[in-house]
Amino acid sequence: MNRPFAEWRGGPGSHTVVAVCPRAERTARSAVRVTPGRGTRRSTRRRDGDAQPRMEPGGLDSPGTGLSETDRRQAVHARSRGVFGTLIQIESVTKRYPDGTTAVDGLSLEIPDGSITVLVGPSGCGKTTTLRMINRMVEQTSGRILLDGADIREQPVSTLRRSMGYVIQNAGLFPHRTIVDNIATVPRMLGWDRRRARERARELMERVGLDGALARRYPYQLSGGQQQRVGVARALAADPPVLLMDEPFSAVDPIVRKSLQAELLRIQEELGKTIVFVTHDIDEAIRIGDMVAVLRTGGKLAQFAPPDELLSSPADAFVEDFLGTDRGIRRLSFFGSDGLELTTQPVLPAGADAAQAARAAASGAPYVLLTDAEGRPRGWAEAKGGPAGGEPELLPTGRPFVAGRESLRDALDCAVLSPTGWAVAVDDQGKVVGVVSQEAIGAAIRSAHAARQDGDGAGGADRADATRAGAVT
Amino acid sequence: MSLFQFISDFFRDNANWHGAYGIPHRLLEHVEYSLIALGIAAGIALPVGLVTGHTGRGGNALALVATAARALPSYGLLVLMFFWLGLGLTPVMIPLVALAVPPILVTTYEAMRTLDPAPVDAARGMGMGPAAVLFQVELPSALPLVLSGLRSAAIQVVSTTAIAATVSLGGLGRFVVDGLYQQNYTIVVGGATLIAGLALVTIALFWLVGRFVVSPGVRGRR
Repeated sequence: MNRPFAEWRGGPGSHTVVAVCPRAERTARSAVRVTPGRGTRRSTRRRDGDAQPRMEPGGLDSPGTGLSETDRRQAVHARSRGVFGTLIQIESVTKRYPDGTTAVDGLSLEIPDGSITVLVGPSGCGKTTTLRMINRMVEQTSGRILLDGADIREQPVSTLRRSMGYVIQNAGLFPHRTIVDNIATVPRMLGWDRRRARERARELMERVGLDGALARRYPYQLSGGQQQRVGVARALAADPPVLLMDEPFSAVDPIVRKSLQAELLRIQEELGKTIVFVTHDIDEAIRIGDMVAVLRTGGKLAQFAPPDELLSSPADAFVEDFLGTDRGIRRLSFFGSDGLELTTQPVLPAGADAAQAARAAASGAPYVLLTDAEGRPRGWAEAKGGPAGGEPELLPTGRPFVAGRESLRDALDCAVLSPTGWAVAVDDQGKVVGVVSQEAIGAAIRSAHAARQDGDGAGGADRADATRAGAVT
Repeated sequence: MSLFQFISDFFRDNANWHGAYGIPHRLLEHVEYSLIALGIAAGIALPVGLVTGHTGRGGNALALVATAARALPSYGLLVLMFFWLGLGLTPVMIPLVALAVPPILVTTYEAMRTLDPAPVDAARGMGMGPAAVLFQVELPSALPLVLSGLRSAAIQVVSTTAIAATVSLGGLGRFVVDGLYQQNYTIVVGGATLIAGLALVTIALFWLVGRFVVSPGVRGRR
């Protein structure tokens, strides 16, 4: 699952990363629709006629899905290493307050264009201060910040701020304005007439998943999650290239937070903004970040890496401690399940004859999966007893995973939770496409890890190519 | 004679409704004095309250001034000013303004201080200038409290303007002062009733103004 980003631009077989200008690249990316979900998106590559053998049986391809998450992250990563330009450059910036406390200490960051960069760290690490220096809500003591190559202090502060959407923790909606007028604030400030600004506001309500009936309501009539969506819509209203988000989802409950995160990823796929996102929640950082900057107390950068790399090789004990336990398991969400070797042998469709049943029972698996007329999983039956004599006793299948779209982490979770130790793979319609044992998942994890390690050795832009070569067995 | 007898006698007396000594003229005078006093007080207290509340500075000094002004006896101040400045509107305005400033000042300051900081932060982050933040974000949210300060100041001023009559000026206080002098209690009670009625009308007016200028988004919350 670790393909070079040149691949989805240049097509299969292209083994050199072609340097294109960031603008063109962004257009290319926005042309590819990507389904939401994390770390598990399928590439269209195989549909283009992939010459390379993969360790998976045929018939697994579900059509119409776009660029994979890992591809996207890889591309962003390549750019962050200097292959492409960056939009926001923070150059040895320090913020020291008159009382002597240092909020940010000599921080340098290159925030890649058109991706989500997360600043994460414990409280007092200067992440919010860093964010607020980008739109000059806080002025740095020394160092400089460049936006598209130009120092942000060169333009009037109001112009700078109007070119950056700003989302804060409690949304900060204007209580005296209706939802539609809240969203229309910046367009109105930019001199749009009221009608056009409101039209735009309604368009954005739809984009962030808000019911149009809420347009004439006031903020106090909305739930916290809805208010936060309005906050995002308001920040997007004038279509700024940059979005600054300061712990935007911290004040809502975990379920709403998760849906807001998914929504943000979806909107980002459509719009391709340069987003700087501050959070204290490392799981949120890993979930939504293309790049994650971990800051330590005192405002120093501890590590700046894609989340996958952060989990696999934390720079030091602080980062490792901050990441918490289960790093290995959590990292599996960056490995797609499309490399899994599924087998259909122990699957017994509804209305199968005795010969088929015998073949399924003899497949070597201790259990046989029975499916219904629609191909959905019904339950596991013991292979030994044989399904011949009447209706066998069925074990529940538990939650199946969607092959290709969900990650190895999901597949492993299904296998662990399954009473038989086998995970059931389904397609987007819930039809069984195969089953896989814990052992097979373990083997896939090992080979995926091995592939990543080979890739790390290659370094630079062709690192991903080497990775892929390693993945081919 | 009962109180209601006095009141009905006063309002039924045709002579009380005409000329420079009649109810309409006195009422207009009273409203005029009250509006001038309230206008001056608001002109002083609103900007000071908004700025101190906005910056969060000078709160202690402000509380001190407000307490001191509240402690001033209006009538005593009037007499002093009358002997110092002589006849005219100024000696009347000074105690009335001193009476009206503290409630406006304190509530405006408090209204600004207790505002949710998040919308202000968001407004600044969006590129609004300080004036836009004050007038488009802070003031509309603070308006219910600011209006309540203006309202209590207005009620106190309307009630107290009656003292203008003691230094030879007009207004509804004339009925009370003259009635007492003539020992005509019908006029005294009638004048007092008018002043109380005007205070009630003031409350109603502020309620109406609130309906129109305060956003439902802010009103619904408080």
